[in-house]
Amino acid sequence: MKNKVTIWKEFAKGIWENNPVLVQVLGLCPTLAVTATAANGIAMALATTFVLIFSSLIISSVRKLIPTQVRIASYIVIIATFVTIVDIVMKAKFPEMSKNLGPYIPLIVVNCIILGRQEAFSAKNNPFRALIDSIGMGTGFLIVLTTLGGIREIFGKGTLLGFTILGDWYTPWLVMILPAGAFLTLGFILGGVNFIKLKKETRLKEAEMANALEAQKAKLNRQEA
Amino acid sequence: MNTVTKMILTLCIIGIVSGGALNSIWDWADPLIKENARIATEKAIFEVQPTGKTYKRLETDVAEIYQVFENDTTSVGYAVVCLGNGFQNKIKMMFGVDGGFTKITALAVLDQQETPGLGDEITKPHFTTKFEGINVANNMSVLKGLDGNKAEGKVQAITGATISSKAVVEIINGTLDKLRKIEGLGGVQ
Repeated sequence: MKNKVTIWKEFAKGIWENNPVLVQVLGLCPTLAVTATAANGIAMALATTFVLIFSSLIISSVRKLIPTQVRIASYIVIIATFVTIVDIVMKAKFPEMSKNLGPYIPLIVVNCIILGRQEAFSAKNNPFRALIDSIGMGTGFLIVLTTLGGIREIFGKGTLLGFTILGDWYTPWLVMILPAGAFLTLGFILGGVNFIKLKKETRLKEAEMANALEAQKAKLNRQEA
Repeated sequence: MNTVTKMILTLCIIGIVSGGALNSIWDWADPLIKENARIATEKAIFEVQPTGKTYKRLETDVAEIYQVFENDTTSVGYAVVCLGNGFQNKIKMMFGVDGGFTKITALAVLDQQETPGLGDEITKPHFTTKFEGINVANNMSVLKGLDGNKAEGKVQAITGATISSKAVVEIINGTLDKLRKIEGLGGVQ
């Protein structure tokens, strides 16, 4: 059954079909908290993806050795180890960004995306597939955080990645860099994504029904002929 | 091997490997982190005492205080790190003060988590310059809506950020009071 899913599909499902934030609605805490600027969002997504990839690789490699009764405890220790590594490395090499993201780096441990992927996928698949799945989920997370951060930064500060986009004529909407703005923007994005998916589904259903109708007609024609 | 042994063994091994890995990473990172902190402190010291060339940390537990020197013999005063409660969380600042604790040379806000767009205006020059040259022989006070007065030690609060503005002033006042109690300080020239 698993081999029927192609490598590309395994990767791409994390971006649209099963996006961790937009479809699974996981990891909302960092999504809303650190996206006041696009740069912070990108950094958080990269840190989370690093933890996700390496946790998945390790857990998938040893999945048959961990007794099922202690699997959650084991996963959390492994995830926490990688989060601590990220935290320490950021403090040493990227102190500015570490200060910007503050307590949200250590909080990656409880990001439901990571533990969720371990339970749902890495524990049941080989390391290669776990790697592809993680990269896909991480990419999906990166896209959402960058988009959300970009929108909030442009309207809340007039800049994007530090570069001034909207000039002095623009009075920034303060609400966009506050939590309320995060919820509003994410709400609209979720609504938009769901709308597009619904339309696609309806079109597919209509096409299916049209095909079925054609098939019936063809059958009747053959019978009459 | 029965299940319980396997469980204990698994968790132990994961713990040991994890601890070992983190230990190694920490050994590599600790010097870098300390160096980052030193660079940040040094930058702040020369920001609040622009005429200073060298500095020396003073031996006291009351506060993190550095004596700043213009050259080998002349001291221009102190650079003091202060920490206190703001509106949201702790505010950490460094201010430069002359040897007799009569005037502040400059103020730099190092760390704060005040409300973006309102309280965090305390980091901006339009607020910190209010402290340059201000008289601190007596405790400073905060005024709302009225212009400040440096000679009298009065600071005008930021509109919409009265609590954050008051917190800054109170933290500095409190730190100076503590410093005046230390022997050997306050009379140095």
